[in-house]
Amino acid sequence: MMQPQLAETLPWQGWRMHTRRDDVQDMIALVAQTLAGGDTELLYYGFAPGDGEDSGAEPARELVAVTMDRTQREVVWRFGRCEAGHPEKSPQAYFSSRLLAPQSGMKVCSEFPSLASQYLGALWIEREMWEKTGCIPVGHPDLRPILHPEKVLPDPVARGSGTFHLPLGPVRADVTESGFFLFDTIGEQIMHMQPQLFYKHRDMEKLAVGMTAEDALLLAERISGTSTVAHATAFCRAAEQALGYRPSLQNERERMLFGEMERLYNHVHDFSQLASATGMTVAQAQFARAKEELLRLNAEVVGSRYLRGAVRLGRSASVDWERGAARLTAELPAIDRRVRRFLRLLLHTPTFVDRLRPTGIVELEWARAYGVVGPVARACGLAVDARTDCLRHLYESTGHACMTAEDAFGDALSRFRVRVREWDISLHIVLELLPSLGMSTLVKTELSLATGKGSMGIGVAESPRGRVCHVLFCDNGKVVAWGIRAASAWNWPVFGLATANGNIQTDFPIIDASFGLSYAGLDR
Amino acid sequence: MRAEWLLSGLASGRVTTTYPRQREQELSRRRWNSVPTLNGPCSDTACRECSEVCPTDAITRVETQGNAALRLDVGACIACGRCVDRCPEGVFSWAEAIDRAEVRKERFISTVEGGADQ
Amino acid sequence: MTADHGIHADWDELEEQGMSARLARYFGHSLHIRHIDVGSCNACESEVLALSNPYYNFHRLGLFFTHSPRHADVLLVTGALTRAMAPVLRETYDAMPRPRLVVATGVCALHGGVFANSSRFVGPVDSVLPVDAYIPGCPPNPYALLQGLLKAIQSREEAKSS
Repeated sequence: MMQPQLAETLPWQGWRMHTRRDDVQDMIALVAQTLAGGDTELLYYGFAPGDGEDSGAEPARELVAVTMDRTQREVVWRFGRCEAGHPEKSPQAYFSSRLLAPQSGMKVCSEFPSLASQYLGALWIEREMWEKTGCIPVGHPDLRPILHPEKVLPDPVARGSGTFHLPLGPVRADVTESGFFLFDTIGEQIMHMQPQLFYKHRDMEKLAVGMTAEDALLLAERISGTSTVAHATAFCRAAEQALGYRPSLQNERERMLFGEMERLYNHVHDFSQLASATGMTVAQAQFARAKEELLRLNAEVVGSRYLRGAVRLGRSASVDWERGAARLTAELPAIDRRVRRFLRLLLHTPTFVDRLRPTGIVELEWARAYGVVGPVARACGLAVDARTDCLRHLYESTGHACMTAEDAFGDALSRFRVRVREWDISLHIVLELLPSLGMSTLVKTELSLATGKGSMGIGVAESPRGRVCHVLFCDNGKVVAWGIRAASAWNWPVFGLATANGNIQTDFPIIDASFGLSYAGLDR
Repeated sequence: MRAEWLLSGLASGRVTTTYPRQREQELSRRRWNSVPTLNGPCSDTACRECSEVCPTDAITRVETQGNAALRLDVGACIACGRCVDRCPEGVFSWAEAIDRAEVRKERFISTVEGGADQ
Repeated sequence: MTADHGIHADWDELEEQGMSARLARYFGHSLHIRHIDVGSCNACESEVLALSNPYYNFHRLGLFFTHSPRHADVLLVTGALTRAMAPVLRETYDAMPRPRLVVATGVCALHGGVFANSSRFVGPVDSVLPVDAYIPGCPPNPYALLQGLLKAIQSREEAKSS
């Protein structure tokens, strides 16, 4: 397999890349060991595409884990081949009595040592991998079906007198996405909460196989509609690397700008939802108004309210920057003034602050153990931000710094405060970047897909919800395999823990709004 | 604090659109790339650019009696804008009416007979 | 925020189209909407939610969101219908009192859009439920949503007269 020159591609400038092939046992052990170190993050974990040498009925499976070491500035792709299945073992032999038996008809193809037994962030990923392929992660602490909620729903955990089981969803109050939550409560107190998602699983990773990268970009834009730019940017960076295409700084600046425009409307949406959850209707309406104004501004600059079609593969967006910059500089300060005014009012309103303060606490150990990202991680005091981690040289000139909460309690108020600080910095970056776009002429290079060869690429972007990572394997310009890790995929497992962390039923809408998770991003 | 909240609501102006009542004025101010529209016949009967770039097969060329008719199904369009960008003849453009909704699905399909110089 | 020109002016306009008479006859002057997401990317939800912001303020037309399908007149369906959501959609529809309307929203609900070839995609919403109005777009903007809701009421009238 060709190794792309990672250090030379712009978004990863100054980074080293290594590819390691090990025995699967060693590979998992090594990944777990580096992750325990603390400065390393897991970017991607899943199955690599098969090498086409499937002779028997059981396809050969290869695991891939991509880790990122922030201090060493290196990305390591680790590959490990799964061992062949043991036909003498029945599928049931893999499961202890505590665990659910596999679904009927599921074959046990092969097995691999579970990473989740050492790194909790891989819990849901391995459940998904198992259900998709039949490869069993041996030693997984909680192996239950996750992908087919129409067949299997979670069982309640708490039992005994006075406990109630409250199912919520998938059709829930208000205009929200579909997901199912099972609460175990005693009185008002939530004892345990299990989210069941994947109602909206559209099998996008498989759908893209055989498509050209340009067509797959349209899918990437529709992974999570309100993180269109982040997913499109991460996908384009991965595809450009895989296809041997070198992006220009001009191009990357544009993507950064779109990314911050997306963050602005998403954060103001989260403010609005949080105000609505606490019954602050004036603030809710005002933030909703600001969001609409930002969406209209997006449409005026790019043509799409959700910035679709703005990020393009191998070339710049066709945007009239002179006009766009004029509109943005004219409109943004007024919106900013109004948003700031209502943020200040909210933070001085005791009924709002008191509802948020000890609500939905994410403990620091959980955040570390599960590899939480985005504002949720920064609210715990973890400086996790793809913009400062691996895109630092791009953001250096804009004066961007990672905004962790001042008083990092990991509660809803800390998450709110992180977003408030990010609102300021995003606005600053947008205004900072605008002149550099208006002055220079666009570098329009037609993308030639013929340059692609059997290769892989990794792209990272910071969405409003956290780090988004795409892994792409290409051959002859066509997608061979595609891996998507949305920001919410890392945060969902912690959501259930935070909800049951000493909260009552009526806290749930606040916790829900303060996490601001995307269902579509995880479900794909 | 309460006074400030009250004042804040009063002083922020009126923004509500007059959508169904003054539809024309309301929409003329908005040029959102919502759905494309067919502007007229395509004179190049050999060109298949639009139907090839369309990711959801919303554009098809149907051969009828030697004429290449162009068929656009807005109900299958994801507004990617490729046809608008790529068509050398400018047959496609973004629709002015961005509030398109129909009672029957067939009404989304528009067809033009192709070949101005047949 | 909609002090003078809100309710009355728009209702006058609807009066001209005979719309308010229809609303009064079938739905008691107001229309309650239950939204259901059957596999969308969240952009449609964001646009549906925008209907209630001060810009569109759809309450002035007598339109409201409702939490329960049992109180709903309209089922607003967004997204590409997935296998997991198909029985849920059916159940939600069955829970609604009559008369009931179904509005398919966005290209995913109409056709499948980019997800049309997905192995988890069941089919367009009208292959499962009778649909009264279709709103194209990816995502459909709030004006299109308003238009679609008004058309749905109209379609009910057409069906009655034919």
